[in-house]
Amino acid sequence: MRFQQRLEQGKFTLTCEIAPPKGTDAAERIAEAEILKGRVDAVAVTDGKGSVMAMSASALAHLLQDRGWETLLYLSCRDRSRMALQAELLGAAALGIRNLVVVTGDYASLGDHPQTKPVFDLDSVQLLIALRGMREGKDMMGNPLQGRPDFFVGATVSPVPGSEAALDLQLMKMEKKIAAGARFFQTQPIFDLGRFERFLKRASGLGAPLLAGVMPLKSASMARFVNKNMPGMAVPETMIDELSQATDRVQVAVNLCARILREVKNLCPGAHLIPAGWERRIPAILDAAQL
Amino acid sequence: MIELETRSSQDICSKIGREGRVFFIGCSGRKGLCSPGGESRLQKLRGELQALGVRFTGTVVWDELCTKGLDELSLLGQFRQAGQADLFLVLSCEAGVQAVAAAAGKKTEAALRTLSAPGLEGIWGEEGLCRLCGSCLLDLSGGLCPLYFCPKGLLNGPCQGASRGRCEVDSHNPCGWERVYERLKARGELGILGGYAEPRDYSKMLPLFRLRSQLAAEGKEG
Repeated sequence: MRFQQRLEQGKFTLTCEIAPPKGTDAAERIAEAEILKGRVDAVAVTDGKGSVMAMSASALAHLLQDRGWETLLYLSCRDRSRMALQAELLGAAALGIRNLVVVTGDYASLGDHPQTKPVFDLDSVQLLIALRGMREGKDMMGNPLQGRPDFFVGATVSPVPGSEAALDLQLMKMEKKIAAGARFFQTQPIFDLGRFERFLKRASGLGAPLLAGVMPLKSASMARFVNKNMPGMAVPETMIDELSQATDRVQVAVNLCARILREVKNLCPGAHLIPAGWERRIPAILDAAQL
Repeated sequence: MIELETRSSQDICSKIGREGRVFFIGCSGRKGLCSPGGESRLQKLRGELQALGVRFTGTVVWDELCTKGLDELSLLGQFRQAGQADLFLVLSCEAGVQAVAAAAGKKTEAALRTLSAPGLEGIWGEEGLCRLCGSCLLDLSGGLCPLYFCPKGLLNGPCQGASRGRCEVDSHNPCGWERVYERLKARGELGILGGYAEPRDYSKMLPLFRLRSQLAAEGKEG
């Protein structure tokens, strides 16, 4: 409840992404989360991110909740029919998971099982509408439910998608998601604050609180990789220069991420940390950002 | 034979409304291949729609709409009756609807649903083929089929995977939703994108199996 309450009270809210393990042993992920205790408000468990097969998100979220965490559960439309999506939602609600982030999901050919059948029976807007019906006690066909799932539901948006057309489309879809019941948004990682502010000028009027994505750039080569391969992410050249000229690369990278985090804090009601392998350095980043 | 289903006049009317004026384009099809209904079905449907308050500027019926070149179709606007219309209603399989939508520069609505086309997915292959979903969405997407241009088949707008206007699945292909956007923007119809598309009815896709089993039962296959 803390996550929803903080957002609704307008307090700066921090979440951190945790990816389920490939295998049955979740000890390492639980240990990584342990380091974040007291530093972030909730952990967000991803669902087959990058189309890489891993443990089910609801299982890891359940294990984390057993250890006192509040979780956000990601739910992707890629792998499940409307029946499986609804079944997953009922199961997650029964396990006490309160917060949800619905996403379309990366395409299957981009991951480690490229031969799989991508499902995409519903899109994220349709899933939000289905959720609204379930909260009112009905499945998608109007059949009554015994016990209603009542999630605090969020969605995602790409604030710097690369062109005016793409930005208009993102905002159009964001509006549809809000109308369909999305109550908060997480964004792709932000690097270019100027372009992010242009997005915020148009998005803030829509009324749903945003958690800006913040991801550490561990090196100049990672920053170049992001620019070349990651849709909707643009690292300014000045940041790449800063990283390539660093003598203490790790310290410069930590400070750079902390700086983005501080600037984001002035613009948004929350931030969503994406550690990208630097789970154990998140406390240092938060220290540097004085958070 | 291409299997086509006529939409009810109430269904069409609820989509196109009574405000704008409609030019109705029919297709008489091709013998042995499809029967979209031609002049007689067009006039019957026009009568029903008029009774519901829909106003028409005129009608035209062609043979094999899907084989008409884009040049020929783009002359549509030169016809006074077509030029006065706010919307083109098209009585043909989806290939014909896509052809008109690509050439016409106006909002286009399908009067038929294309259910199956064993061995054939429409002759007009300029922009994309019909996926035979049986619940045509061309009206919500500027006449470009989201099932064809979007690998995820998203019906309510793009995902977040496009990069520099290119699809995340194959960078040789443009993001289809950005193409829809550009087409609707040129027509001043971006508001269409705000509409909500319901989940697809996959049971509509069953007729193909039904046809197969019918053929097998009649001993014409296998």
